Amino acid sequence: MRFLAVFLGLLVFSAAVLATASEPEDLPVLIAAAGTADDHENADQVVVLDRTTVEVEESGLAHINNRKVTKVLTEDGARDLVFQRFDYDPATQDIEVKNVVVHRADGTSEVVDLAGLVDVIAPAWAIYWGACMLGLDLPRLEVGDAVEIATYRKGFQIAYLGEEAADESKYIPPMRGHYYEVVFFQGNHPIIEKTYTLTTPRTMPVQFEVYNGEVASSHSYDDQSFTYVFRKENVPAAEHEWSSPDLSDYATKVVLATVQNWEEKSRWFCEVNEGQFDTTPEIDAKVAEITAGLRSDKDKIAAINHWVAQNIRYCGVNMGEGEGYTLHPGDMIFRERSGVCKDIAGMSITMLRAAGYEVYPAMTMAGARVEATPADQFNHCVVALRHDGGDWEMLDPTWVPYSRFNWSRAEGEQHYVIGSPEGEGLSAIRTYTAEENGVKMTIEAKLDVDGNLRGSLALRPRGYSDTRLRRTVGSNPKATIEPNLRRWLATLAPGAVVTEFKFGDPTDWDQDMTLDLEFEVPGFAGVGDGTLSWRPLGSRLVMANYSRMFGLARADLAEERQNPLLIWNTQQIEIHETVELPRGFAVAEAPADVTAGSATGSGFCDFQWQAEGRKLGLKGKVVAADRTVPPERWPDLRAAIESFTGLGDTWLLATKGGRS
Amino acid sequence: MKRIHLFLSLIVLALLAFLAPVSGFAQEVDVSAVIAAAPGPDAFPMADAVTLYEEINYDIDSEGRVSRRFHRLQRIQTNWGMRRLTDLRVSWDSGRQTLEIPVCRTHLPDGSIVDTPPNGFNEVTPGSVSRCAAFLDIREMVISHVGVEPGAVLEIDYTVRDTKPPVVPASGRVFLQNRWPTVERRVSITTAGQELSFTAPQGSVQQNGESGSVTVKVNDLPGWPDEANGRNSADYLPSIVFVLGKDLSYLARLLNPLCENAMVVDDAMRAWLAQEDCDLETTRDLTDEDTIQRIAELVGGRIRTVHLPLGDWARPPRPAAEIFAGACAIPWEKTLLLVALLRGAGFQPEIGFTSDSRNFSPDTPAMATFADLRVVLTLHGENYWLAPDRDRAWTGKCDRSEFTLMFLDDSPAGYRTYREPSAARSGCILAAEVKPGQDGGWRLVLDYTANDLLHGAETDTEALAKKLATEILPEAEVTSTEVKELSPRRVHLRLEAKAEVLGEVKNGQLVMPLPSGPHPVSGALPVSCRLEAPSRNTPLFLAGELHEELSLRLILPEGLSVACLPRAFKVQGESSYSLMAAEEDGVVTIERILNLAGDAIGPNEWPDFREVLIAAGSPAGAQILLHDSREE
Repeated sequence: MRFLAVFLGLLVFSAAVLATASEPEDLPVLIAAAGTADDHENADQVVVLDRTTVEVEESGLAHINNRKVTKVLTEDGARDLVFQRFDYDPATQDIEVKNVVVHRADGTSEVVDLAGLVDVIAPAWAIYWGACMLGLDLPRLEVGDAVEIATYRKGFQIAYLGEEAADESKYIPPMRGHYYEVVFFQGNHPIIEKTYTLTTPRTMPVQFEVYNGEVASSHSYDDQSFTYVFRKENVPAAEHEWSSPDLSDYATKVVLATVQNWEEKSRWFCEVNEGQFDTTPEIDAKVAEITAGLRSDKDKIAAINHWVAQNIRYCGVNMGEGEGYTLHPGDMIFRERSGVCKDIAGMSITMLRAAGYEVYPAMTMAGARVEATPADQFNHCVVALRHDGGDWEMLDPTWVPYSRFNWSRAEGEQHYVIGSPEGEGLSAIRTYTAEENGVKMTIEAKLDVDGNLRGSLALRPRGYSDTRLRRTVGSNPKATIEPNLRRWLATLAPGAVVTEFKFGDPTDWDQDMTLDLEFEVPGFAGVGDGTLSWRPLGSRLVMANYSRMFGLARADLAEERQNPLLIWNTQQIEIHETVELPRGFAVAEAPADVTAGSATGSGFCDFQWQAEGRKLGLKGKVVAADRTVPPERWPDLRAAIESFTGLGDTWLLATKGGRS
Repeated sequence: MKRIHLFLSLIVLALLAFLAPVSGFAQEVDVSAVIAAAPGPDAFPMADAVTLYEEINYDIDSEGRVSRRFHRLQRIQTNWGMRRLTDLRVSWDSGRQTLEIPVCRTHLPDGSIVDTPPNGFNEVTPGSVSRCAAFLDIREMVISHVGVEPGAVLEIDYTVRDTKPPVVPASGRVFLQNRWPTVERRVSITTAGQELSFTAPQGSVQQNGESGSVTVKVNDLPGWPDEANGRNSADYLPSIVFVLGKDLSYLARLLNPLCENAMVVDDAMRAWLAQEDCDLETTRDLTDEDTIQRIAELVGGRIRTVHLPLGDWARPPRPAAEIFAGACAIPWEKTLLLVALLRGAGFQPEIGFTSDSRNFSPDTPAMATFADLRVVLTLHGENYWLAPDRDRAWTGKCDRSEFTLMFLDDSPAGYRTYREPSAARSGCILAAEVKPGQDGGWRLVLDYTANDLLHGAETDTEALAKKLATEILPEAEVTSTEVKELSPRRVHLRLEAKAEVLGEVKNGQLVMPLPSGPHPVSGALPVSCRLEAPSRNTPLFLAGELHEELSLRLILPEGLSVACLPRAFKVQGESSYSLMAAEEDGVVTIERILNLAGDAIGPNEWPDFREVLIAAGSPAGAQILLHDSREE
């Protein structure tokens, strides 16, 4: 009954706003009132109005009319708007561009000849399902002009070829008789007014909820249908910040669905994919080969999942009927050795079932939340294995090439819905701690009196840090591996030399990955009259982001954030660094220890110096504790990164005979 | 000494060793035999893929229509290769070409063969043209091999066939070497008896006895190292260039009317010129220079540049009026619009087609050997240059030094060529004195001269002075700037500045980095000049000789003493670096000179050259470390 509460709550607020929706408009006045670049900071265009009406039939077939007027604020905006692209999937959608008009700043208007529309297959990378686009060049636009576009669409957005032969059957959604949508009321450009009107038959009540802000809404009905109206005015463009999660996590949106609950969706997803996982003698033989000699279920499951991850490459071709939401048949994937996430998952399911396990497909969302309203909010497909005791184990073969895990440590806290015969609810993966994704860097080095440095470095990663190091070896061209290592060490000085190095086996799933190297850095330290000066090594090497092991090395350290920060994996970086000075030298003055952030916050940095005889040691760690950092927790992490970076800029001084 | 000539000669000699006689290749290759006979993966331990066999045939009919056939057998050797090299993209112009793919299959290590099913051939729109309706009929086929695993051999055989004759003579450049080792590569060009001009590496060519045909075969070529060197691939990779036609004049006489016909100024363009105050017919308030800039801004900044996957000469240019009315165009079209508008504003610009390599040969007048365009006009005795994708015109030298430009003109030949010599010595001399001020703060006096590559053509002297001062005193406020000389090629200024503090004191120490000027030598080196590579396989080309000189005098007050001076260096050779630092009676003096010889650094010279750059980049020579006891 949540929607009723939301509905009642917003009803009062909405009444005044909605009252204006049906009034006749004076478009030139609206365009003029939309303002100029001075009124919309950093915006190249502004949406004057964006009105959508959706009429849903009993079958779930949707008729969508949209009218949008966008005003050019800058020359960049003019360049962006002058080409219009309308994407659609011919297997499930029909589109008609009804009208395009350029309203000039001087009050005149120009109707664009739609004979110029070009209908072609859209650009595609890795997923080749035949998505199309209409392209239209507009006449040259100037600042102050506005573009009005009216379109009609029919159908839905994931690929589907209907079972029936009737003309419109392919536009009916796969979950027949249902409609769901996520409607954004905030985007890349400021919006003056956006209205979304949905009409469904009386047999299809809609539940909805507003997230990340407020939207005015109303609900009315007659004998035949329900009508829902959502409207919002004067919306600023969504703030773009470094490493934000998907827009859906922070932009104002309405999530609506006729589906009653996730269990219903779960059962449908299970049913629609049963029959795709039949094994063949060839698959059985391969499963037997993969699991030969393995005794425990854990080992067998891991071996099968890793075989799929390593051998099925990511490339999706169109299998025809059911494409987009149905997993490709196991025998097809086994033969072609390629597919997208759902197909790679399908290969795992087929092989695991062939090995005797109870396994189902599951839907998940990488990079954003799934809200409680049971609308389709998924972008990724994974595997759910039910153990004898009923516990579920999640596997993601798409995300674990060159990973020792069955589920990527970058996918913590991710929401998912398993497609099972009984029906499952919305669940979430557990949090992976920073320590679980940690890496320890041990450096032992000696300085000589000429300022040359010689030493060893060992990396001992765990969790997602382990995956990153494995991929350095396995997911890069062979000829780049050694140069990349040399480039990393050159962070210390351009003449740094890697004299020896050894990686662990990137396909040994039983052991943590390792890297051990020996190095020399001629001219590393400044040499004065009885003095040596240098900077610490570890923090600079970490910030050089070798193997993309420390994603925060590239962080934009803005004072404040408006939106969350998504770093994908929590992380702890531990450094044990010791530099031994030449005989007769001692550290002039041990620098101050570095502490920043908070151990209970989103991040902290804690390093201590230790001077003992000729040895100067540095020990400590920097921790990024949250996978998704809310804006209010950002200052701690920011302080930790800033201090850790500053650590690398600390100049150390040793003098012959001790303190200068 | 031009060591590069020696190096190129070595390349040719090395290539000759790989060349083998060829007897023409009308016969089809025995695929199974090629796979069986190929050296194993151990023979190519660092390669993710190996080309076992590749045959490229250009067949030109009597109308100039070309059929381009590519037949390749490539073995995948690693997991990375399996993921990244198994989807091939082939573009064609659907308005005047067809694509045929008779064979796409995977030969598995166990001997079985998997043919790509129909859904493995997916037509898409090339990303580069996806925002320009005029080019959406250029298509791209994604061809996915199936069943691939390391050790599998991918076989592809396809033909792109012209259905209409091209507007400029058929031509091409085919590289004989690429990233992956090659066991055998054959290239043939066959005409219907027309006159064929070509250039190819010496010794690689065997005429097969018929007029207008040529064949080339190379064997056992190593993969070309992935090593940036400041040059275009056409400068150093062996290639065959061919064209129907015998001289540049022939090409220029074809291009001249093609360009002229497209450069008509229509009413809309005239109206824009008038509106922007650029019109020749009216008395304009804008200066000539501003008029040129206004036109450069429109064409370079407002019209998006589109590069065609088939090459930018694959289509004749559309009329300038159409480009003016639209929002995207190929460089050729943008250039013609530039010229049309400049003519409309009363100038007499010229169009230059720039070569794609420094080794331009007028004997093979192929459009395929041109890469870009430039426009030049003379105003008040100075050359003004414009490029189709830049929103600013510039004066002085052409930016494409060492490349050949073919300017179209109305001479009997229809063209003239021009080649800007490489940059002369680019230099930066920075002399500074830092001393305590009378009010307890610090004073800086700085003299700065820079030219060419180390100048950066900056015109905002105020910003330049600020940059220079804050490089030495982070919180400096510039109190006076005297600009002694300022031109697009050279700047000389003298400034005075003051600051409250010399720098941040941390742990009782104060670090004062040595300045290098706003355009240091490191920025003038080729982008991927990786010093960590102890050896190189290819020469490194510099844009010209570079000279950087720093002279710094720092007078220390009571309580501030030297903890560590920059380390002294002296590396002497054809290039050199020296750094001397001294302190006497509270006065620190630094003298630093870096001199990089221009031209090309051959692989044998790399270690010495690298040593100079390593010394110049050494952290041990980059700062003065001071001990601050003033608060103790």
